[in-house]
Amino acid sequence: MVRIVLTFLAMAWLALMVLAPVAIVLVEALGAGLGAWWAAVSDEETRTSVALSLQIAALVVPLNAIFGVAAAWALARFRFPGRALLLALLDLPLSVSPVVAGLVFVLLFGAQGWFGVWLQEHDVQIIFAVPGIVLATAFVTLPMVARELLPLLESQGDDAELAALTLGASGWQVFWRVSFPRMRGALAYGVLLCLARALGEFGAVSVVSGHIRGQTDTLPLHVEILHNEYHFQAAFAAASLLLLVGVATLLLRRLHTPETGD
Amino acid sequence: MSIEILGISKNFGAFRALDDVTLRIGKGELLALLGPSGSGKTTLLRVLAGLEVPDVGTVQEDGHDLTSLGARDRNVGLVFQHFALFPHLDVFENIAFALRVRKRPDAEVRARVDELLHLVQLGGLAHRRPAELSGGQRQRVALARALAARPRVLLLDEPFSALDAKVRHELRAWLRQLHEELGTTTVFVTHDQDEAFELADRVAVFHRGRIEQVGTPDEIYDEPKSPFVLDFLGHVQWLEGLGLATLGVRHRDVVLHAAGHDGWPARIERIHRTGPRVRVDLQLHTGQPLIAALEPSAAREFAVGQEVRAVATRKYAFAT
Repeated sequence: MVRIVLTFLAMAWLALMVLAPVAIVLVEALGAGLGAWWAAVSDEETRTSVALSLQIAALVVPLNAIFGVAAAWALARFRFPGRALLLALLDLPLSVSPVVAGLVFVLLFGAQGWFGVWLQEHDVQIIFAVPGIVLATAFVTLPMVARELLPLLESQGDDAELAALTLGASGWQVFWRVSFPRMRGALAYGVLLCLARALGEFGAVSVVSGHIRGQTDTLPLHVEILHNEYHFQAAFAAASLLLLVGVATLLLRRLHTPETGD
Repeated sequence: MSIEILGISKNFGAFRALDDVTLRIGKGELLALLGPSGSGKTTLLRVLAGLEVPDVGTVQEDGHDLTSLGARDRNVGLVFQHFALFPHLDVFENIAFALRVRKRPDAEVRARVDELLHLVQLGGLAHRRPAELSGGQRQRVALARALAARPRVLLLDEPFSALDAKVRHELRAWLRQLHEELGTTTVFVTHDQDEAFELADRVAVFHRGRIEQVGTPDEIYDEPKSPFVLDFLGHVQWLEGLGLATLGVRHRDVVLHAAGHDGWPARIERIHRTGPRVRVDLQLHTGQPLIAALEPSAAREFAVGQEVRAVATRKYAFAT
């Protein structure tokens, strides 16, 4: 009896909170037919915003993947001064509000910010331009790869790596022949999560972007603009693209089976 | 290749893992480091492998100082307690690893790995993953992998502890035989005295970071130099008040006689069979318990509740 009630409650809540919004996005986006959906998606400004979002993700994801591997590896394998601090800092981007994250960059690089004058003198535009969006997105997605790898590396332990060392492998050989192949699955999923978040980030990007149409509007910002201007069908069509990214991420996770040590 | 360990100490924070350890390992020897957990034996093995740097002391090989040489350059073969095979590589590539990182030509790698697969009797399993092997098979892969680059010393950390009893006994005999074939200087760590005694030429007994005694199994069994060694080998009863010093008596050294004979008066509390011997629990008239491990034929004469005389054919007394 308890089981039935609990299961029902969980299903009902899930239906209300997840399934209904997803259904609404799809109904609104496709309600006027595939033709209308395609017209909205292939609209000039929507295409530009998609391109910008992809461009930003293409910059941010590799950077955070490299950082994530380095950070997770260092945190899992070595004890060094500042390790606890690094662990705490790693979680900061997840715990701090994205709007605050965006504001930090405005305070640093904005016209009135700490480096604002210097940047203006050297004619470098960061806030209300693409570099600011890249920075804000990188900040928000910073821990995603590292957080995915860290538990795996800790559960694997360092025996295999020490074994490789005693067998004559150099540091790089240990990494490429032993450590990296064993983290590939988790890395792929971390990259995927990072990508989905980079494409979907709204709060932090909204603060630093300046909403310059056709220049600093990413896909999520564009969805908001369309919605504010009462282009509901177009807004939902654009939103359905983001939904697609999310669903694809989950499907790929199902495909990837995590390695279970040895 | 003789190895000299000279005055090595190693601390982990406030914990003294090794305390002024000196030990000589002869060429071709099979040496056991025996002791309870936390006694320093594994730390010494890791120092030999180059995975730990001692705080004080040196490791020398034929007069050359190895102390600061890293694990990569020592050319030792180390077999980990849980084998630490590479789960993403098959048996062949696991064994080939040391040759691959040395960039040996393919033909040479193939020949050497085939030779090792034959040696460890895993010929048909070259393309299995470690996850598809039994514990005993993994152990042999780990051994073959450690031997691939012809190490100067083979080090084994609790090599049989992750295996079940039957496989453990088979592999012990096999390892002893392998050592005789190869003649590689071998050091292994164990907490199991049967394992140490059955396999090793010499045994070093560890206690709290120090070596209590080094010797052949016979020397250690017959002439334990400290109460700890006698106690650790097990099946011993400590008796007080029967003389000046505390006496250690092994269960198997206790002989029982009918009342009236010389010996300690005692009453039989319990008799039960434990494997090849019969264990007789006695209570001495002084109130202390004593255990006799008798041959079944000798035990047949006695019954629970009977008053007897106990004689220790061999007693160990240690100056304190």
